[in-house]
Amino acid sequence: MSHLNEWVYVSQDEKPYVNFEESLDVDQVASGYVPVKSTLEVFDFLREAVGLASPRGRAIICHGTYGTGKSRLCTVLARLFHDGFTCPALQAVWGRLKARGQGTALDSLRQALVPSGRNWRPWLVVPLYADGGGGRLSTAFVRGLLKALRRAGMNEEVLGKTVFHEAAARLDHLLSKGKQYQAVAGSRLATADQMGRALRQDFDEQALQEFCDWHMRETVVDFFDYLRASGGAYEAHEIYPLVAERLQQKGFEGILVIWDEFGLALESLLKGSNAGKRDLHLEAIGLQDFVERACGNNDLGKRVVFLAFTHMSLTEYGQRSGLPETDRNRLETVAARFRQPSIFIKLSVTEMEGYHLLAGMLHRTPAGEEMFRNPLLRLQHVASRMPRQRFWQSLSADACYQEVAAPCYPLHPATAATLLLLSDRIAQVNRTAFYYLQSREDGGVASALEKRKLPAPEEAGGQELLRVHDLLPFFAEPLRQKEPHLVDQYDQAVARLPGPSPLETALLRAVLVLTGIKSADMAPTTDFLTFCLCDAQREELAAAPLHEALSRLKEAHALWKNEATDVWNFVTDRGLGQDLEKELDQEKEHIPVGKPAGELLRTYEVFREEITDRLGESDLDPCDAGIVRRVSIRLLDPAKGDRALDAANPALGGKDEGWLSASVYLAAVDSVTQLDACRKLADVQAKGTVYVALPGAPLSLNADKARELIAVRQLLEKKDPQTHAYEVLENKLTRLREDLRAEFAKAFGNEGLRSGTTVLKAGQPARPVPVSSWGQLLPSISRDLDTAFSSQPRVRCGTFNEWQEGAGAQWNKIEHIVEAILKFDEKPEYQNEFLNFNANSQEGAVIDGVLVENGFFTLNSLAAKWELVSPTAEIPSEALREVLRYLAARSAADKPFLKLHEKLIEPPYGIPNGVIPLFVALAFRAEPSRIAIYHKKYNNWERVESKLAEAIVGMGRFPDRYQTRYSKLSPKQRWVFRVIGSELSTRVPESGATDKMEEACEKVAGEMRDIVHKLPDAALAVPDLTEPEKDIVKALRGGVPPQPTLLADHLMRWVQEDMEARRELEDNGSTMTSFPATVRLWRGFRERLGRQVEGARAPVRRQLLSAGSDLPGVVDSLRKVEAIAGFDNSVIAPIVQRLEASEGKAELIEEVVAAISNKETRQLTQEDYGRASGILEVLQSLAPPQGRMTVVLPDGGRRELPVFAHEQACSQIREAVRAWQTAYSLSPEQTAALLLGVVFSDSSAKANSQPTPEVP
Amino acid sequence: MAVTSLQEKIERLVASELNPVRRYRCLVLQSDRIDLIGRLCDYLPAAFGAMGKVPKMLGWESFFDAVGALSSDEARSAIVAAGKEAPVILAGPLHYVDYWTTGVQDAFWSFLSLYSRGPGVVAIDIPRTEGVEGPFIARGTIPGTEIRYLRPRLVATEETFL
Repeated sequence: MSHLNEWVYVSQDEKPYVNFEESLDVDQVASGYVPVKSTLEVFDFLREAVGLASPRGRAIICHGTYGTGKSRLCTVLARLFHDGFTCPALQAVWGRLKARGQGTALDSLRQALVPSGRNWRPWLVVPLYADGGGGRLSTAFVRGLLKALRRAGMNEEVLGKTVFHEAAARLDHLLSKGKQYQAVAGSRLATADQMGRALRQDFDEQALQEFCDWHMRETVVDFFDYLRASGGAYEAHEIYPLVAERLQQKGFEGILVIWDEFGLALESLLKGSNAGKRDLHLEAIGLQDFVERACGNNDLGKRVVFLAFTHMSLTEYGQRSGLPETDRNRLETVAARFRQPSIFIKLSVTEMEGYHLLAGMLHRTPAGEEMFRNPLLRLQHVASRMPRQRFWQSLSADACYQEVAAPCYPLHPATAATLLLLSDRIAQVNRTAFYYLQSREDGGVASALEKRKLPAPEEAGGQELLRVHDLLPFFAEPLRQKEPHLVDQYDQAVARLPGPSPLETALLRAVLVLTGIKSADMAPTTDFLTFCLCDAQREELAAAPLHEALSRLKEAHALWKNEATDVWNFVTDRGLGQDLEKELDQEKEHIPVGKPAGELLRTYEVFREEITDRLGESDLDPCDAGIVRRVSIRLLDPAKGDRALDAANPALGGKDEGWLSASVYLAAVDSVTQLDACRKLADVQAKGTVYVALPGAPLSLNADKARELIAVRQLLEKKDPQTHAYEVLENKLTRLREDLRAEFAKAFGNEGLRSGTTVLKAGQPARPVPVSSWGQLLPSISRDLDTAFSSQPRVRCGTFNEWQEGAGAQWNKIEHIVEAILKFDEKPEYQNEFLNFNANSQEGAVIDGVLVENGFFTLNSLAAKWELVSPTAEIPSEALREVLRYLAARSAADKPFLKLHEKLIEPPYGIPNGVIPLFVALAFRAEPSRIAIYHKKYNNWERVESKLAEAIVGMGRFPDRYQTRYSKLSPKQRWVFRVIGSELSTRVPESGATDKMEEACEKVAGEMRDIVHKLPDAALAVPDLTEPEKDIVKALRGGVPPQPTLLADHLMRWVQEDMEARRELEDNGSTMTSFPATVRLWRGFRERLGRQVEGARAPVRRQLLSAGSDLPGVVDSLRKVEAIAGFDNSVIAPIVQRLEASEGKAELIEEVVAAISNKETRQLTQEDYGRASGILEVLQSLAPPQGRMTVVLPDGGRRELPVFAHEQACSQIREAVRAWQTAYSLSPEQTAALLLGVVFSDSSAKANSQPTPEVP
Repeated sequence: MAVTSLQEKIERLVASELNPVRRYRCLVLQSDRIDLIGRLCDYLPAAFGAMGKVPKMLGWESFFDAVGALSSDEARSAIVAAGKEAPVILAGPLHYVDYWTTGVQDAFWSFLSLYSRGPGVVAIDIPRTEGVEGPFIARGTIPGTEIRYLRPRLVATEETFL
């Protein structure tokens, strides 16, 4: 017997799913992709994202259910960015796009990627799949990048070093120095080799933690501190931009990260977080950093584009995992950093592309091709009825035949459309449209083709078609999971009709499937069911059996019809389950009957949302100081008694909650007694600043209407917006809302305020806030609040005059300003108006609105210089004094920054969190060397040594993660200064007042700086300096003096390198009285430094022996040479000028070498000394030796003559010359010229009786 | 009553769990009897043979070198390379995973549970739960034996309705 497979077959070569990583090089996967509407959205995103600047960021989430082609799209994008537009595997895809008239989207992307006239340059594609190999998200990003680089044939130099590589290298280094690796108890990594391997190859975070512990034990230095000292990029958000920049040299344009099944990575994170193995908060911030900093980077040459493919939005992952609210909020914050809106990848059926997708899988045999050469009449009949259905009403009958019915044969058009909607809505891993086509089980198309009889050609397009009800077996399980109640109703309906006819069974199944897809245009109306099952319209004769079947089903209480909408539904055991009024009644049953309206208002948020839009938080207009404060408007619940009025600031506690300056309570109560209770509450001072709006009478809301409104709202949330029921409910809601709002306004609208409602400040009942309309309420409160914030500073700039969320790119601006404040004295470029920022920039606005407005940054008109305040205890700004008092006060323990933060945001200061870092930075200027900042990381407090500006800004963003210490040295730190001090001129007392000891330590640090700071850079070239010694030199040579604690840490690390000195350090004077090993260490160090520098200086010193022993002497010598060489000499003149201008602060040798090299004395290298020595030697050769003089002859020759004195001869010559001058009216020059000519022509004529050497 | 041999049971199990229509194709077999583990290693090639495939056997010893266990990264690369065209048998016990920290072990089992390349992987191991259960779900024991078998968690979403 012949079957349908003689005409049509389903491609089995193509997998119904794609493994993205595996498919990167498989042409078939890329070329088989059928673009959908969402593809164009992805192209559009990429068009913007690959630009040199992408203000909306370069990261996006693409989400869609199984089977929507996400993985295949990933493959197409990977091939495009790797191989370019001419990639042969992509030509078929481009062809499909162009055939559908969407070539312009492709052309726009091409123009963005390959601007006219340029050659194609590939992007480095970083493919990631599922959990990305495990570990933190940041680690997965870095691991993916490393692998992509290796695949591209690049070595790891491009990547630089990851923290894992650094750790492995450090491990090797310490082992080479004789340290012994000892695994912690219970560690899997028993040997150093295993540890190294885990770090290098697995990026193993636990291994890193164990290594850090070992490092701390062995060196007493935190490994991350050690890393920080050396600088470098270790997190994904730091590494990617750097690599993108370096990749340009290797021929790449940028980096494209494609993470398929990113949702699995998130699920893994959420599970790990639940199990306490991972830190959701930190990883979420890490992801946020990656999206913001790596993908938001608009610096030239640092383009990083990130596409994350998931099954749902990030927010939904949080909701489905039952996360606590704070964690959900955290995920929402991260989600918001991606480009909004995210792209919903779906099989859009309304624009034909879905049908193209299906048709692409259904291939015709030669016999099938022959069959379709001419139109199939029955199929045309089906197509002719399609435009009469709402779903296809915009298509012509011909288009319906050509684009849908014929290409999708043997799928009935309704089946094709339903299949795609089902796939979008309920698909599971292998229950997608594509699996359905390939499946030989559960009624899949492949099996139907083998089983269904081939019709006669004239009958084709009739009974053999796969209809909507044929979809059920394959999609039953996902449908049951998605719509369990609906499937239960279906089961009950089936049970009520024993021995149904095939048409009745088909009807029940069709109603289930069509109800399940929830498409308003494909609801199971009589008309649509007639089309689906009889290829007719309801009034046609062919529909008669269907009407009969429906009647029987109705009589059997299996189905019922909503007469208003003509939609068929299942009858449930409680009656008409889809009856709206009944459902409403059921909802109302859950709402207590006896509760008055005011109580319902307090209980039901949906009710509050509907009838008043005044509740919630509102920003006030900026006050005189420029600050925008926020108030909350709430309902007053007198039942809460003393706790009813509460305006505590939620920002206290540092948990990234916005601030609140006051609360306004509406006394929406139901009885006079309750109203009296509210009045009494308003008489008493409340916690925080509280206002109470008291109406003249209790609320007059209708409680029944209120219950109905709540029920409607709750029911609406369960309904699909596309359904008729939804429309009915919405109309009802609108009517109820209007009625109840009008009643509510009688108490709390303008009408109420004019008829007895008053607004009182709690604790001050005698002084009502003057308002006669709701529009005046908030400005009045704003004015009233100003009195509470008596010491608020001025914040007269946009954005930062209001509360800022902890996350966000705007903090970068504050960081720039903090950086300028900290380096103000050091860098002259900051000593300009607006600290050298553009006047129109955000930084400029903040500087003007805060620093200038508060008198912290002023123009000294006499000196014509901008000056930045260095705060003292006498500074007029109370807020700045508060900051200084807190940070620069000695205390027994470290000081949590949160405490100061809370003080500053509350009255009397009320400083917005965004500008708090500016106050901290100013305070830091006063005591830079004594205030140490500690940052909480992985539950450890780590000292902030570099990136101070970033830390200070972090204090404003996350105040609970920072604490400060006002220079307090540990006993070991004091000991190390004591020992070194004994070799210098300062003695550090062993005991006594802490102040005295620390003061002495600071002096030692100062002396050390004096010694090292004066050394030229040549000191750094000492070949045998150890790493700790280099760190010490670097710290002491920095622009600002190192904090004593930091310097002490470096010194301790250095001391640890020597076994004996280490023992002395461990003892730190508790039993030992002398410390010869440490002293020896210091002397050796100092001697090596000195020797190196002296070696470089020696040749210069030799030259200076003849040039002069002091600065004037050297200048004098050089002047003589300059006189010979000519004053316009370009070599000597600048040196002389520079030497004359120098203040002689440094030693003579350095001054001279610096003048010759045109550098600062501290920047001198060995080469500068060598060069200076050479130049001095040449200059010396030009200068006349002592006791001789040089004469330049008219012909340019030079003569050196001995200095000669003969008084009598001189007197006679002078007289003779005067006589000649008088006689011949000669000027002195003319006389000299004649004399020289006469003397030297005579002397040369007289043989060489007394030859004088000629200067070459 | 007919007695089904272990060989046949293994063949059926492998045929159903590594069915090509499944997306996630990894089967974990666990037994604390070394002799059974040895027999599994003997039977599995034949089980794949019945499916017309020649598997690649990766013995536990190939995952060790002078330092200790290879890195997880190398191990995964070896499995991916071997499994491109052929089924892979990870002959156990997989003691090498004990050389890795728990985080790395978790990632390894997660990798196996999401394995969707080539014909698939069968891992033979001693009974262990930590790290394995989560990505994998225990489905019971092979009837008449003490051999537990586990399948990827996500396979549950692929179960058919019938």
